[in-house]
Amino acid sequence: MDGLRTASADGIWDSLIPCGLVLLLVILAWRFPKQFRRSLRRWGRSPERPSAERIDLALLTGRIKSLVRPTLLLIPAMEAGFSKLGGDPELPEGLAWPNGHERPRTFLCQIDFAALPQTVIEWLPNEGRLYAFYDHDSHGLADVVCILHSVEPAGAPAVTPKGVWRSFHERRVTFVGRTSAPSFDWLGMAPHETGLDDAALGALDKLANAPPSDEIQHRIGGYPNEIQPERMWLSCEHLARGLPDPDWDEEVPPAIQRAAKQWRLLLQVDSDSALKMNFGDGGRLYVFIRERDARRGDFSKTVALWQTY
Amino acid sequence: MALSAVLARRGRRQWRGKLGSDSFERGGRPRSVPDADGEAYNEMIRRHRQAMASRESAPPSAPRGPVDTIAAGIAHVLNGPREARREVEQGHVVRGLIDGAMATPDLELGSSAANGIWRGSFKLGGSHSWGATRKWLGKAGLAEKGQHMHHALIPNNGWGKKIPDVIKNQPWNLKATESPLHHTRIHGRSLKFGLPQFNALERYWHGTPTWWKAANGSAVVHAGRALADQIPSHDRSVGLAHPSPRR
Repeated sequence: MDGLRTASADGIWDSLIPCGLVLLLVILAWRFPKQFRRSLRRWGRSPERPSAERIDLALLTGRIKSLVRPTLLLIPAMEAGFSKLGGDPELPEGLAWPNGHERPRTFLCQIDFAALPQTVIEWLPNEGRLYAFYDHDSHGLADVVCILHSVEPAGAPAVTPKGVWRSFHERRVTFVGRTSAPSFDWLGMAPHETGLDDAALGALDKLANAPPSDEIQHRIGGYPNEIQPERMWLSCEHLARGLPDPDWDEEVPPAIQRAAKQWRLLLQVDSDSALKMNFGDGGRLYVFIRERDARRGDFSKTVALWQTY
Repeated sequence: MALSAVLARRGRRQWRGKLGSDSFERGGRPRSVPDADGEAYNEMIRRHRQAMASRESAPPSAPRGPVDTIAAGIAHVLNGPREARREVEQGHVVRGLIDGAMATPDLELGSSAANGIWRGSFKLGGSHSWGATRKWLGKAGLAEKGQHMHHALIPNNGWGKKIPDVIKNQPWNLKATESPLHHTRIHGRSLKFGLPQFNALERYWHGTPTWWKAANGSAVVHAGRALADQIPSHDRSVGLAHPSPRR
């Protein structure tokens, strides 16, 4: 009798378990179609991606070389000047400390355009001062970093208002010129799609003389050092137009592509433990501006991005 | 002397004894006739009992090599579902379901480990800088195009700065995030979408690799079972543990 009951239970469970699994799969596919498709793709994927068709290295090298731009690294200064990272901003009279979305912003840096080596970044004005303020609460918004520009003489260091998220330690900086090449992210490519081996990819990294991407880099001009894959020029254009974040595989309309070519890296500020700067988990802030706006001295339309590890 | 030969001789002696000589030892009474092999036989039995006693009292021997370890791991992982099935077969459906649920972390952990070994999910050569690791992740199929990777267990900054890249920039420490928004919310809130930062549980769920969650689940389950095994058997009939000792 017991044997009969066990056999009967076996029969029920042998049919119930597969039915339950099928039902579960149907529910998952119905309720979470995107994740379900992705899981299926992962399931069937080979350990290593199939080797992509090898891209013409000479053509790619030529393309990257043609895009190389000058950049200025912000390095510690021997003599004190106006330009600095952290500390208190030396705002001119009449220029108020900007507020963030919920509290006063944190002062990030100030740059004296007149102190920049001339003709290195030709689209930047030759005079005036730039002040950057960070809002810890607005990651993902275009104004996570707010830029103020003034041609008035600098004032005394402003008193940090109450309620700021954090104050950074001060470091006076000077500038050193380097060259910067676009990354695969900027070119909208994934390295594994090029079919290039590590040696070839390493050779491409040496087409410019800016320090490696992993080093702490506070910079003006050139190309951003992305931490995560993102076509930043496209993100800037989408943010400026109020469009949703672009997908990596999304086809870019020609009008947006043309417009997005105008975006230039105005400022990159890195996490720097010596200054008590940390954006996320060692992240970076990137401020972009359209070249034509920069030439006009209009710094009110910048777009800032944030990335972290 | 071979054991079979000794037993055979002993059997013959018993047979002879039953015929009427009554010469075999019984009930502590002395033998009526001498037994030439008796001493050797008794010595052999004594040694055998000694050997068996020492084997039972000795702790289980450790696995001898990597193959044994893997085999033991597989047997352990498969044991949970087998127990669940046995419970269901015996009519304990609820216990079977609970056992099945408790076996899931083990299965997931086993699957993650097997997957990691199969895919070669450890970057052994080349540069371990983040840039190089990111390229390798794409090539190895461990990160989708455009997918953000989050340093899950060892952060890149903070105390993680003291950890070499070769340790922290490895797939076991990286979590491929569902979307850039998820990555933002692991680190802070998103005013853009009006969404708060993930709470601790959400950060744990969205910001740690599957193998880590499975390992945690497995540890909790095994700790629970170990605790349940401490409870005397007459109290266990109402608990999750089995009324009869596990085999």
